Amino acid sequence: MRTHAHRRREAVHRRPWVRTGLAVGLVVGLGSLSTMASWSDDATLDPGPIQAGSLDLLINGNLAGQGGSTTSPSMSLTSMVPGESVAVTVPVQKASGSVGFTYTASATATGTLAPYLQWTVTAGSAATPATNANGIRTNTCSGTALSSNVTLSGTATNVIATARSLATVSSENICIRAELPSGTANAAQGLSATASFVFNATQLS
Amino acid sequence: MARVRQVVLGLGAFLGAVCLLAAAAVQLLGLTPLVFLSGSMGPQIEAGDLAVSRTVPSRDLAVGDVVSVVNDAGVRVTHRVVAVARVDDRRAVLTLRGDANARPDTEAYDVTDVQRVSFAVPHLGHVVSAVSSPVGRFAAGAYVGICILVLLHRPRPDPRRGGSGRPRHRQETRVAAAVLAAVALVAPVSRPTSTLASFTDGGTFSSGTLSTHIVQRSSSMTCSNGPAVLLGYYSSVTVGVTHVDSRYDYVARVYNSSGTKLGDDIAMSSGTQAVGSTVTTTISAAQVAGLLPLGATVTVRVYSRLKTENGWESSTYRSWTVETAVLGALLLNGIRCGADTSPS
Repeated sequence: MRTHAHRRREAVHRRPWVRTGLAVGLVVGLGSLSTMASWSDDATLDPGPIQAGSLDLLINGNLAGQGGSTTSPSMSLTSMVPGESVAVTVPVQKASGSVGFTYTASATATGTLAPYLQWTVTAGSAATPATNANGIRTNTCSGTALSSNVTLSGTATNVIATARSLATVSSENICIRAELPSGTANAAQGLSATASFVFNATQLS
Repeated sequence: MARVRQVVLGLGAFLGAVCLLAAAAVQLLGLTPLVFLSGSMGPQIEAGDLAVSRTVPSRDLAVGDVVSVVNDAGVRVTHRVVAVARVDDRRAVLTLRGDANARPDTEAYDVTDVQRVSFAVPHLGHVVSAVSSPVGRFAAGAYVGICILVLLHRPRPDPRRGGSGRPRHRQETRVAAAVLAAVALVAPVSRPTSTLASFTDGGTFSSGTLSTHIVQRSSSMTCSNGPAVLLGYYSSVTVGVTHVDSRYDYVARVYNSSGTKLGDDIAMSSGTQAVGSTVTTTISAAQVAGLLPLGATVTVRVYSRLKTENGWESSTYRSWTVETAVLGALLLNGIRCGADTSPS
C-alpha cells in the first residue's frame, strides 16, 4: 500500500514539465480567445468598464424610469393670432446613477393648426414672454438652433438630429418655440394643435 | 514544500488547459465570445456575463434571436431582434431592442452576416475581462513564471533514495528560457470583444394646446343721423360699434339689397381707444350717392379685424340699414338710419 502511493507520487514528480507547459496555456489561451474576438470586429474597441446600473433620461425633472410622457402647461398658448409665439425651456437630465448617454429628438404634431405652426428647437433657454402694445405675445429661444421653423405633422420629424451627449454634464437645457407666423391665412382662425417631442437616449460606449 | 509545488503546478496546468480548450473551441467552431458591459438585456443577460456568438447568414435570423451588431457610432450592441425586413436573399434590415429597454433602438441595422448569440454564461465576463486586463495578463504571465521557478527549484533529494540520478540543471535552464520566450511572444494579447447591451430610454415631452383666436364681431352697433338736409333726411350718418378687443380694428362695408358690395372698405381704426368705448365712422350721403340708384335702402356691415393682420377678420358682422333719397328738384342727396339688422 505504502509502496503504491509512493510510486504514484514519484510518477507525478517526474512530469512537472507537462503541467508547466499547460500553465503556459494561461497566456496562450487568452491570446487566442482575444485574437478571435478582435478578428471578428473591425472597430478597435476599448472595452469600457462593466457597468451594472441603468440609463435614465429625465425631461423637465420628470419621467424617472423607462419611457413616459410629460406635458408642459407652459408650452401652450390659446387665442393665438399671427405673429405670436411661445417658448419653453426643457431641461434634459441624466438621472443620478444613470450611465452617460447621447440623445436625439423627433417630433410630431396633431390638430388642424399643425400645418400653420412653425417650430424651432435650440440648445438654450426661453426668454421672458413679452406682450407688445397691440397685445401680441412673443417669446424667443437663445442658443444654437438645432432646427429652425419646421412644420410638424403626424409623421415624425427629426428636431434634434445630431446626437447630443450627456456624459460629462448631467443636464442641459433645450428650448422649444412655436410660432404662428405673420401672414398666416385667415383660414387658420379657431384651429388648435398639440405637439409631442420624443427624446431617445442611447447609452454611450 | 513539495505539496506547495504540486498545487502551484497543478493549478497552473488546470487553468492553462481550460484556456487552451476554450481557445481551440473558439477557433475550430468559429465562435466569438462577447463580454457584456451593460445590462439592457437583463434579466436574461446581465452586465458582466459572457455570451458566445456564432456568425450566421441574415436569412437564418428570426424575431426573438439575440444578435450582436456594430452601430453607426462604431459601438458593438447586442440586442434582441424585434423585426426583420428582408431586403434580398443576403441582406436584411433588423430592428433591435434590449429586453430591459422600453423602445427599440433608433438605428435600424442593415446586415448580411450577423453574429447570433448561442448562449450566455453568467458572471464569466467579469473573469474574462479581469484576466484580459493588463493587470490580469501580467498576473497570468507571472504565474507561468512562478511555475517555472518552482520547477527549477527542485526539492532536496530524498535521503532514503540516495539523491537524484543525474544533474539536469543545465537542461532545465534551457527549457525555462524557451518557455519564457514563448510567453514573451504571446503576452501582448488584445482583449476579448466587449459589447454593450446598450441601454436606451425615451421620454415624450408634449406641448399643451396651441390654439388660434377667432376674430369676433362687435357686441353692438349704433347708427345716428348727422346734420338735417330736408324732410327727415340727413347729409350723413355716423355708425359706431363697441370696441370689444384691444387687438381689433373694424371695417365698414356697404351692401345693396341683393347683397352686392358697393364701393370700397371704410376703415374704422380703434387707435388707442379703450375696450368698451365706441369706434365710429361717418358715411355721407354723397359717399353713397354714386353707388346706387337713389332712393334705395342699403346695409352697412361692420366687421372686426386684427390690427396686426388685416387678413384676419370676423366671419360675422353687425349691420344697420340706411335709406337714401333724392330730395325733390333740389337734387340734394339725403340719407338716414334705418334699423339694426345684425344677424343673431
